[in-house]
Amino acid sequence: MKALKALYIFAATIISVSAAAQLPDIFDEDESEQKERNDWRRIYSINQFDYFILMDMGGGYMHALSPTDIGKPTDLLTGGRFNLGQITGGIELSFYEGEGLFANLRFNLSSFAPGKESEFNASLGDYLGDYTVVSTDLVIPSPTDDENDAPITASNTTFHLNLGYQITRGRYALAVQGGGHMTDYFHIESYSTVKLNNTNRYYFVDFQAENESSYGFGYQAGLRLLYKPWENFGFTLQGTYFRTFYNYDFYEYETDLFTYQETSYLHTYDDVVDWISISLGLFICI
Amino acid sequence: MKLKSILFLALTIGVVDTLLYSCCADEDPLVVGTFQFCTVTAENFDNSGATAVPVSDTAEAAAFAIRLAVEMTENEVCSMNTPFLLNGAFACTNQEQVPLYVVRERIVDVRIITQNDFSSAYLAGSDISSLFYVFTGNEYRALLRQFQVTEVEEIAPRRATALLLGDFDFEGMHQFTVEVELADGSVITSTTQPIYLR
Repeated sequence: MKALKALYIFAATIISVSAAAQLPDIFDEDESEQKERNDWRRIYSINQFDYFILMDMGGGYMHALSPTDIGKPTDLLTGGRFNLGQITGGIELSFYEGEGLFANLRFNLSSFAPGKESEFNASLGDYLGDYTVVSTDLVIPSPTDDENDAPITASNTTFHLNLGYQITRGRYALAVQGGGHMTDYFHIESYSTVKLNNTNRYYFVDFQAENESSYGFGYQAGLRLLYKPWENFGFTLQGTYFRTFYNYDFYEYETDLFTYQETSYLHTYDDVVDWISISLGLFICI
Repeated sequence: MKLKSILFLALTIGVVDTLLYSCCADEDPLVVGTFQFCTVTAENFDNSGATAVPVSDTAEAAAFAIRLAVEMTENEVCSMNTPFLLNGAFACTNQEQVPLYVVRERIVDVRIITQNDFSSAYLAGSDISSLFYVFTGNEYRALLRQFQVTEVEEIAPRRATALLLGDFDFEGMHQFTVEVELADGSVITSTTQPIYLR
């Protein structure tokens, strides 16, 4: 069903661009630009700088928890996550010459630190029945950080494979593209203190998801505008909508603060993340 | 001889100056008075929800708590013996010193005495304070630790919510007396209202 949905979005974008190609030229051209029109060759796009808007308004859901589990969250990241200001770097290779259908492969390494307006709003969610969340801190440490007190940086890698259709007008080229991607998940961690209702007992709950056991697949669609003021160099501007389906293992370490006895649990966690990437980059065209 | 006197005077001024300014660099708070623990109040609380609330008639023993508030009073302001040399040009200036009150008689023990048989191990008249803890947000602390204060910046009641975390055998009406013992041997007390623990 998800694959059908992705196919539908991709087909729709192709049809849209095909229709757009029939429209009168949207960019004025002079003779020299007419000449350059067919000079679009294979594109190697490098040094992408992306500005990501990460949306995850739905949260995710834990699988099949035992009723005897202390931790019992049903919705780990409630309230959604909304992040602005994710910066990435990457390389894109377009198997493409001129106007028409093309394919590209893109690799992105993301490292981001949410800006002031960014917020990862997370909580342990609704504890089933007997537990009350007293306080929660979500930290997203960089994998390179030894300590978790450098919380809000993260990185992940994503491979995209896109198919698209491009029209060229002089120094400009406009394309729609869509396809699939796979990504790993960054380390994400949440500390909470919870209280067992109807008692005086408090617990410290530490949820952790690691890169090694986390991955996601999804689809994406978007627009790409190329501007080539020089013969072999130019700028790219891309806007892409992504939907990623994550599956990862979440480790729960729960400490009884009275006895200091620790219990660990392993949860499988599904998540759907919607995100938008606005990307500015450079390309060489040879 | 004259030169010797001048040198001696210069040396003396230098030493005094150094001493004075080393005193000024010391950022010890300014002790402005003393305080004394005078009364204690004890109330029954129910901690079954997210936060503890006062309760009057009945409570789950597993979520029972006693809220303690030890009032303190300010005593006379200490007469500050300002050194002669601190007056005038040598006085420390531009230093906002935090006023500080020191305790006259510190608290040496906090006891919670059960008026009824509480469990098979704790019969009426027993001190059951070891069954109560204060949760600070990340750890449980012994009750006394919350009251081991020797200096404060303002005169305000010292409060703590003592959570019951011990064995409990006897369901029924219970009443507790809180005894706060000071260093001079005096004891201030308060008794909770009777409450039905189940």
